[in-house]
Amino acid sequence: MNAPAGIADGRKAGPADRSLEAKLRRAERRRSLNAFLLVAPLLAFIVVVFAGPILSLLYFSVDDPKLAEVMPRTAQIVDAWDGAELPGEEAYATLVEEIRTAYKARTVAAAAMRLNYEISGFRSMVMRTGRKIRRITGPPYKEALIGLDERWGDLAYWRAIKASAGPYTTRYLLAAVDLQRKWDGSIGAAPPERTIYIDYLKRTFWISFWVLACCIAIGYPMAFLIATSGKRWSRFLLVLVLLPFWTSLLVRTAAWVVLLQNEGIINDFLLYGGIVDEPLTLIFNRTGVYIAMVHILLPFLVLPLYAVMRNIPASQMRAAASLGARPVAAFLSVYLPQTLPGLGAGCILVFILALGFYITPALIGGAADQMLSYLIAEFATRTGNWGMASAIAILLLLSVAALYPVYRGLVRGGTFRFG
Amino acid sequence: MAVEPEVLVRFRDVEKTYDGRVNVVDRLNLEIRKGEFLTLLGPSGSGKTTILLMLAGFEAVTAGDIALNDRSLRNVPPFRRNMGIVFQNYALFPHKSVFQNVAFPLVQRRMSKPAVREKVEAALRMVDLTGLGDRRPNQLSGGQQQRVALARALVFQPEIVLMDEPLGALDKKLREQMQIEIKHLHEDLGMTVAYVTHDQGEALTMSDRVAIMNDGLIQQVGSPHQVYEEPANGFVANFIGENNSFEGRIESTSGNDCAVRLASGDIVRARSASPRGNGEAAALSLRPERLTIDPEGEGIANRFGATVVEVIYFGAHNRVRLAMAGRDDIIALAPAGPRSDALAPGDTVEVGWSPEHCRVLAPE
Repeated sequence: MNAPAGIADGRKAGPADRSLEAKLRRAERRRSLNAFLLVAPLLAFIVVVFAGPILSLLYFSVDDPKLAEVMPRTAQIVDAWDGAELPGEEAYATLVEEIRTAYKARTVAAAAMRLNYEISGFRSMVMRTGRKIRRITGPPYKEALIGLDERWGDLAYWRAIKASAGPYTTRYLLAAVDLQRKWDGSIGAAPPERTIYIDYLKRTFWISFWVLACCIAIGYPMAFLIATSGKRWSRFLLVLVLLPFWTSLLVRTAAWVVLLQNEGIINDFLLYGGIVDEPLTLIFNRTGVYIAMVHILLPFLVLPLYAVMRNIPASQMRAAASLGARPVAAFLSVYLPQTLPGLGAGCILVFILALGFYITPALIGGAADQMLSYLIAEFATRTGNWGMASAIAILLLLSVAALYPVYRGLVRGGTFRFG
Repeated sequence: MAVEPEVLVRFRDVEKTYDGRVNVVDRLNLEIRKGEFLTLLGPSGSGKTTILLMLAGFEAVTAGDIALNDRSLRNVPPFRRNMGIVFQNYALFPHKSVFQNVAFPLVQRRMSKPAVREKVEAALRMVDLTGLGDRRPNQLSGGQQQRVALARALVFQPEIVLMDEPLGALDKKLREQMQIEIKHLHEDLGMTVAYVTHDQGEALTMSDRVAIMNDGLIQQVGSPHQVYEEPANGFVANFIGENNSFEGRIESTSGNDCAVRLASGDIVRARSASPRGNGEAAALSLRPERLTIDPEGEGIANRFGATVVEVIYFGAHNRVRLAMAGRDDIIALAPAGPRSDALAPGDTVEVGWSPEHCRVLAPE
């Protein structure tokens, strides 16, 4: 009894302890410095390859330098203009001069292209004006320009120039959610021919949702089978799940093209077996997209589920049965709640990956089965509209970020109460 | 026995095989009486847990039949058998609170909420866990988890409670404490318990009857006293407690008393459970604590000279290894005292034991 009391006395805080605290702090500092140095390369790597691209994506979606680069003074004047009625002679004079210079320097096409995003047909109008700009020799420039093309007297085209004046714009971000900014600064619905993005977003979520539903329906029993069957069987089944994992996404998608086409193996089999009279259309439609995507994403659901299920001892279900729970009740009240963390992790993985799918719908789907990534690729590679591509990428990024709290809730759910 | 005890569970010619070649459980005929504490004791792989799993309905019976209250259990699924089971790893539901764990069997039986609350609280009081109902199993110590498992298996008043090495994961002190508590619960509640363990001390202290298993076969069924003092064969003698074994031939018999000549030529007087013939090979079983150093008094018919080889101090007793009768691995447990504490290797001593403590068994 004496010894512990003595130790307790020795631990009483005194002046000597301050140096002890300082020592502890120094040691902790050293440790955290070491830890930081250890992770520093990783941190740098993440900044360079992850944070960097995302930040530049954000920048590209609002960056709008084209017009200001080619016609800096016009941009300046139009930016100061209130847009209520046609600008004055000075604006026309500057525009004529800058189109003349830009046409000679062959830079006018870039500006014309940017203006075309605002009003289609604007590009050819600027180009034609450039070709004929020699005919304008002196003031008054306003009449001369309107004489070349009467649309220069239309307020809408001047407002389009004002909207393109840069150097930053919200038009891409707004367009990605089917909105546009009017000339007076108010935000309203985009014209019907441009409201396609929300439909794409809805379709992307809808396809991802059904892919996820199919993955759960197939993957949960599969993971259960792998986790509960004998060692040899479970290893075999696990390899079956992993094997496609080791093959490239493109190869697997191409394989599905071969399998699903009208003269493909599946249709041959169905026709030969007399199950159908004419080949089923399994490719270039939604069915094919679902089949291929579910196949590709299934391992992402099965593996986390399997990891959780493997750690649930068989005695759990036995205990439930011995306590009087029928199999279904035992499953619902004992087994399922314990697998929720794995199920949640798997669902989020599958759903997020499905949201970003590009190759599979592009190769197997029809025009009505393309997802948001298709639009990104389209803008980035075909039309070279990086602003729009970035804005849609941000839309996709935000959709994924919005799912994070759901994931947190599901994963933590395993330790929460379930009635 | 004046009144025939009521039989609750009857195993009749039960066999179990997993691979179709080796019987894990072979020709099992066993009765579990109402209200008794029956322990299945045996080394790992002896089939004792399989018996419990078949009784619970988690393993199919290959041949034979198990009856509960004279009704065959063949087509009764586990969830209708009404047996409380305490598993080795407790099998508490980690996502449910202690209260919900104990309430589980009652909820499954669609009991009303107030009744559930009352019964669960009584069960928690019984195992001394009052006030811990809101905790999660992983917030409890091993001993407390054990009590929750016990409360959960008892709260619905099952016909029989099955326990599969329930104390295996606890440290020695806690294990001994829980043994006493389970024993008291059994006495207070009068329930029937089938208990599986490989720990002979546990089997002896807790049971009304012990069934000793080896290689799928029951070796002996009897009270703790019977299986310890009157082992039916060499396996039982060696498995329960420590045993000195001598081999020899029957020299002469008079009733159940035999004289056995050892290989060394010494004659040992011993007792047999069944009549034996002269010239038969026999194994003698002698418990170390029955082997007295410097014996005094009448009745010690066997007396031999021996040399001390080794003395190990155990506090309450000394474990003395002796060389005698041509052997050097004979163990004697000598109670601590001036005489046994003074023993040293090389000492020459006289040892002895009375014939009633030396059993004649069939040689293995």
